[in-house]
Amino acid sequence: MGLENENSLLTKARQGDVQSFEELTSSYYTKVFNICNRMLNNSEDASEQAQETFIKAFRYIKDFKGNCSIPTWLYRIATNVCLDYLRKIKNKKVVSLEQNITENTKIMDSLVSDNPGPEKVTEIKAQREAIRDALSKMNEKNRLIIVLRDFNGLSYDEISEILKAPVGTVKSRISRARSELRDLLCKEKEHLFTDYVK
Amino acid sequence: MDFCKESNMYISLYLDELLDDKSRIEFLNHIEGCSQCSVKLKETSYFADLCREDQDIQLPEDFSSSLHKRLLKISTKDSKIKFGVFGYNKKFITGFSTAAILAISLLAYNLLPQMGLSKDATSMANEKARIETSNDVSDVYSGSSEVKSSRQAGATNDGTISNTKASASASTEASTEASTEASTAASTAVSTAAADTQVTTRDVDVTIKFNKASSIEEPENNLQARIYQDKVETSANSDEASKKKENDTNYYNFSEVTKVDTNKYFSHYAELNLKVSPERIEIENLRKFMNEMGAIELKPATINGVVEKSVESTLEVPTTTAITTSPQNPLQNSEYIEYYLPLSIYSILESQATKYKIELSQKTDIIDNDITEKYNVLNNQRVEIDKRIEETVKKRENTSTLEAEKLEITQELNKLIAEKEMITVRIFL
Repeated sequence: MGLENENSLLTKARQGDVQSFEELTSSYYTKVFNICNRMLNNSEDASEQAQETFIKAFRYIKDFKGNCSIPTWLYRIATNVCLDYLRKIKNKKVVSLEQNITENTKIMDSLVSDNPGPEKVTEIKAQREAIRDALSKMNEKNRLIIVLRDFNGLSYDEISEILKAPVGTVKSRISRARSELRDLLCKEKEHLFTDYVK
Repeated sequence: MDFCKESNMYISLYLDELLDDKSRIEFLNHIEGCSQCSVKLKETSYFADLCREDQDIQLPEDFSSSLHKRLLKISTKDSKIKFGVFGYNKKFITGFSTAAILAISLLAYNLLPQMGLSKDATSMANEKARIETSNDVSDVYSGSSEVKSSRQAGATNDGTISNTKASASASTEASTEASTEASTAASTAVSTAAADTQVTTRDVDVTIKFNKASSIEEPENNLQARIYQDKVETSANSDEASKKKENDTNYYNFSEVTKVDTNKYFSHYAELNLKVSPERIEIENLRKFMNEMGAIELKPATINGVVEKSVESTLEVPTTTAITTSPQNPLQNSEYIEYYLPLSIYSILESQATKYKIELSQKTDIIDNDITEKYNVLNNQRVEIDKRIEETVKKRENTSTLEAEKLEITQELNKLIAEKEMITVRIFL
């Protein structure tokens, strides 16, 4: 999408044109949905909150001044929506991890490199399950950092913009989040990773 | 550099290739010699890789369509708000709200005095004084004096009902046309019944309320007020009775407030049956009951004999009452007794009668007689007289005859208006 075209769509979207807004943001649907999914560990909730993200974006696009890129702006809304949602359901709902693990079995299978044998597939599957399990147990802010950095591969600068925090803070938060994830996995699921990390 | 102490930070920066060359070399040297940091690096690197390799899952099938619908809905709603009647114009909304509040306040202010909230005669009188500034004090006195005379007539039972009515009308005229400069009216009323302070207070209260109403609505209220006032004065002999009247007055006032002038005028007439035992004690009970209810007993036009009273004659209430009496025992041979009372009271007569151990039953429904035409004729006459008075004034001639004529017509009109809220009830014994 050229800058000119993006500006034109942005102008129309600010005037309430749904089609322009969709054209502008539809390429980020999947990314936003996956951020929500990893944060919430439930695809239904993720779908709902991802939609909420785009609805909020549509409502407040007038206030978007272009200080950051559109995806960064969308990810910021998504992270806030997810954190709000988690805060709301904290004492109401027990989040199920199993559902997503099952849903993603096929994807995980496809990740296995170069025709691995059935044992290897099972092993990697168990490791990914362990990571998701650990992720759900993590502090929400640390989880968000892992989702943004390690799952979505966003740069420190992008994360800094999304979180509206200095890059230095982002650095320390990333290191802290990875440390927490590692501790969780090594304490509880050490047996799964022994061959790889020791 | 203490890499062990800050290993998490260095490992993270190393994995993300954010260490400068010098730091990276030093860190790698440290890793080679430190097994603990080396393990940490391997673990962190492996977990980060696992996360990175985790592929995105696909969007739910209906995600885009569902979102599209929701966006359209929001877009439509927003445009409705934007281009609606009020839009986002905050100034307009503020202005409109202020105007609405002001209008409601004024409306409430106008309604308040009619609700009889205050019982303070003086304050009510002062209120009235502010409203009715163009009234003629002399009319008040004449009107009031007529009221007094009619009361006396009623008290001695010598006067006819028509006398009572006429004087009531006169007082109505006094208060309608002009007449009620507040403090004067209040003091006049006080002087007429100085013996009973409580009743006097009620008297003033009632007068003021209806005068106020008359400044806004039709003058019909005044007749009712005066008739009722007469009744209150003549029958208030005990504290209990006066309390009851106070309640009745409130009830009556309420009906006035809610009344709507439809510009149609009716007189009402109904018949009831009273179950009478051989001891005829119920008749006395009826009298007490009706007295308590604030009804006016219509006096016989003739002492000995029967006067037929048609429905039409209710227009001239209360001129006739068909009672066969003898001077010695006026009730012994009575066929019926007639009362003149507010419609609102009539509606509760049957239910309240049992308290006085009397049994009233409906003989006829309420019969309405349309007197609008008669009212219109009289009203036209009054308008004509007004014109004539104007002309006479222009000619600088004496208008007293015309004024008297106008007064008479106005009295008649008020009688007709009053019929709307009143009913003549014939109770057969």
